Amino acid sequence: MSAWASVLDDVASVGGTPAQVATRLGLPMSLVQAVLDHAERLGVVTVAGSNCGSGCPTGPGLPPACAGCPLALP
Amino acid sequence: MSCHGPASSPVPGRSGTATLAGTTAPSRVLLVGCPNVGKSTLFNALTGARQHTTNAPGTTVELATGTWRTARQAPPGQGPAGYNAADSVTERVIVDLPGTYSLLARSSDEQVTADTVRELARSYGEGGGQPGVVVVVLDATALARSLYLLAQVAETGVPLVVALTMLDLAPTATDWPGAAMEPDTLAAALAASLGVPVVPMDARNRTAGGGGELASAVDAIAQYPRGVSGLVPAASSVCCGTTAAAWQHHDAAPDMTQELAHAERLFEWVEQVSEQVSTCLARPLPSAAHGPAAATSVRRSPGPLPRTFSDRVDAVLLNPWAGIPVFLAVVWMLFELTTRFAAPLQSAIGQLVNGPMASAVTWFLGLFGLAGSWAQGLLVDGLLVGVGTVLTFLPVMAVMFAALGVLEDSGYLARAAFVADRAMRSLGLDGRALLPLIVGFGCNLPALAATRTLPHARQRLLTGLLIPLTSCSARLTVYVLLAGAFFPDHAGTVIFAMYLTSVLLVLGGGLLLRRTAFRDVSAGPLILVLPPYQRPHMRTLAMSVRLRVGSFVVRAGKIIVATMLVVWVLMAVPVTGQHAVGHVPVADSLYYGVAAGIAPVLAPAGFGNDHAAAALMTGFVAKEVVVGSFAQSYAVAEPGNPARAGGLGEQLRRSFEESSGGHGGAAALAFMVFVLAYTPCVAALAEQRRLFGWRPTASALTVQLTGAWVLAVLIFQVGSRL
Repeated sequence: MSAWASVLDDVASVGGTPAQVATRLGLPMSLVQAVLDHAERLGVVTVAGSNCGSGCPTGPGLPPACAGCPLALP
Repeated sequence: MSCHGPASSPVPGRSGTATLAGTTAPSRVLLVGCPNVGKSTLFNALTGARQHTTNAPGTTVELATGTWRTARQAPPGQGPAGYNAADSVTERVIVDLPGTYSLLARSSDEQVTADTVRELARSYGEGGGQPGVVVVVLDATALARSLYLLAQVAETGVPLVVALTMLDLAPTATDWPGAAMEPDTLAAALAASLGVPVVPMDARNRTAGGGGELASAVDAIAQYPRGVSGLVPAASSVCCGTTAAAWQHHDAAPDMTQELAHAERLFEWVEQVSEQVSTCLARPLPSAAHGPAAATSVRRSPGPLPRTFSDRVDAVLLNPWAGIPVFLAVVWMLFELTTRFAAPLQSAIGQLVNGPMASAVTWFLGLFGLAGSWAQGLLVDGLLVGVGTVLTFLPVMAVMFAALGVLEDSGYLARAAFVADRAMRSLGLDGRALLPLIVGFGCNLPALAATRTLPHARQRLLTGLLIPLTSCSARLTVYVLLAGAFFPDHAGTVIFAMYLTSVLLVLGGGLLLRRTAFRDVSAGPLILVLPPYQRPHMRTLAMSVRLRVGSFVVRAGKIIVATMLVVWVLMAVPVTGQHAVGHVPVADSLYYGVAAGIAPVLAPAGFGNDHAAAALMTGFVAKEVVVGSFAQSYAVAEPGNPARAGGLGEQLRRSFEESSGGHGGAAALAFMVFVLAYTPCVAALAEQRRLFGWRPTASALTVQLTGAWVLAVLIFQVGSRL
């Protein structure tokens, strides 16, 4: 199974941080990060800690969806 | 495949002959690479002071452009004496493009990089000279990630050269056994695998940093371009023709199967190159530090996994049976902490506003002969009471934001979202809809806007209809007021129950809609990746709380002040009796004329009194003003009536006890559920209309009002009989 398929299968079935996935599969961390990054850009993966799904995003890269939200940081 | 050819040369000509002499420099060189790979350091080393910054066309993204000068090689057979010094320097325009991990752009910076590379590819495809060369900067410590970007650039068909950086840090790389090799060895192995020049760079060393070698490679590849081994340039490649943001805004998603198949091919190539490089590197060192297993495969044996702190905690928190109860317990503790810790501060602020501050404003107005005038009514009974009451909620908000900040920064909230996603999927709801729904617990308006990230119109509509059932932070002020007034010993539990009710309404509503009007909507793929646990940073947390509380005060304050002014005007206009404007008994005002017409409808729910009806009416504008409306209406209605003495809580208890026939607690619960279930605010209604049109919005409005009334009546009728 390719790195792409094995990473997505692992995250979908077990979940966890990129480091945990890399350790479980014995893959280089940067390869796992690249797979997850590409999958996130395609919309099949969401990094739970970096969006509103887990609270309010912070920093300059505030998503347009958060414009006007009283809880969002400027 | 040969492993050990020179890294950056020779570059075979079309005839297969290696040549560098007499090459022509490209007009433009683009530096492309992931963030923090030393790209800008390389740019500075190549250009020195010959650089300037401009905005990319049509954007605010800054691009650094410079002149890269190198000494030109003398033609064969021509010595230095016969060589014109003016012709001895070659100049190239070099552009330092914003760092990106991918050409599938997600930000304006990344888009500029992707567009510039594709523009070069188009120019190259159209012919006409040598429009330019891309230098892809590869990080030796994270080679796989850099190779992924390299693959995307190569697929556009542009001629490219690889600059290998971070070689001094390569020995510290833990995920890439080949990274610790000698720079030249690694570069040669990569060049053999990629089929394009690879130049090891040390940008901090300008004399021996590889600049000259890179220039030769760039000039040579410009004259004799060739593709990267194993990758076919494809102008129509799905990777490069569509951005994630673009397809998410279309009703019909692109062919995801094609996208996924392309991704699979792309990463197979990355793995293949990594393994070829490992194999090459293993040949001179067949044993010892790099044994066959490590050297010939990019994969390592998983073996027994060391259990980290995150692993041990996640074993509990990500377990559906333990994770959900833990999440509920955490949320319950959050509300208990919030209400108990903030209660004394709330009381102090309330006393300050209603006592000394109200007296000071009255005294000040008296100096100008305005005591007892309509101006005092407007300022003291209107604005000060309304705004002051909302100010008492600042401690609640501050404590809640701080607690949420700790949960968020620690990485726990991400786990909660993960567990909730699984729960929603088990009920047949699309996990992707979870994200805007959770935003709804902050504010419904951005949550509705967030539905635009869903790929299908029907999914957006379904989620958009459920979002008003999520309990936004503005409703929290109503819960805090009523729970504190009617259930002072269990206020936190009551508020927790309201949020639980909100979740149940969302799930129940979702299941009902999925089984009736939305049978065609199916759950799409979504995988959540979790951030690692970390200790919250106190300074960042304090700043976050300050900004959020400040933002709440400013934004909610504007709505409250405007609405309070309108309400006061409506209270100042008489509809019955002979009264001057501004001196109207509240029962004869326009405001209460309307409220009194609504109150009988609310009687079966136990809160059929004018104050509650008026508060719900203003709550239609925004839920932040419900509490202010209560405070204002009691202050205006009975400003000097000793029988109505007492705080806002006391006055609420009297009203609800009267209207419910002695079942004030049940009526208060019914009122809170009504506030939870009916239309969140005018702005949310307008956003629904904008996104979904009038018909679904009007239907949703009818269902919300009817549903809220039915639920409130049900709760009161059952509660009053217990």
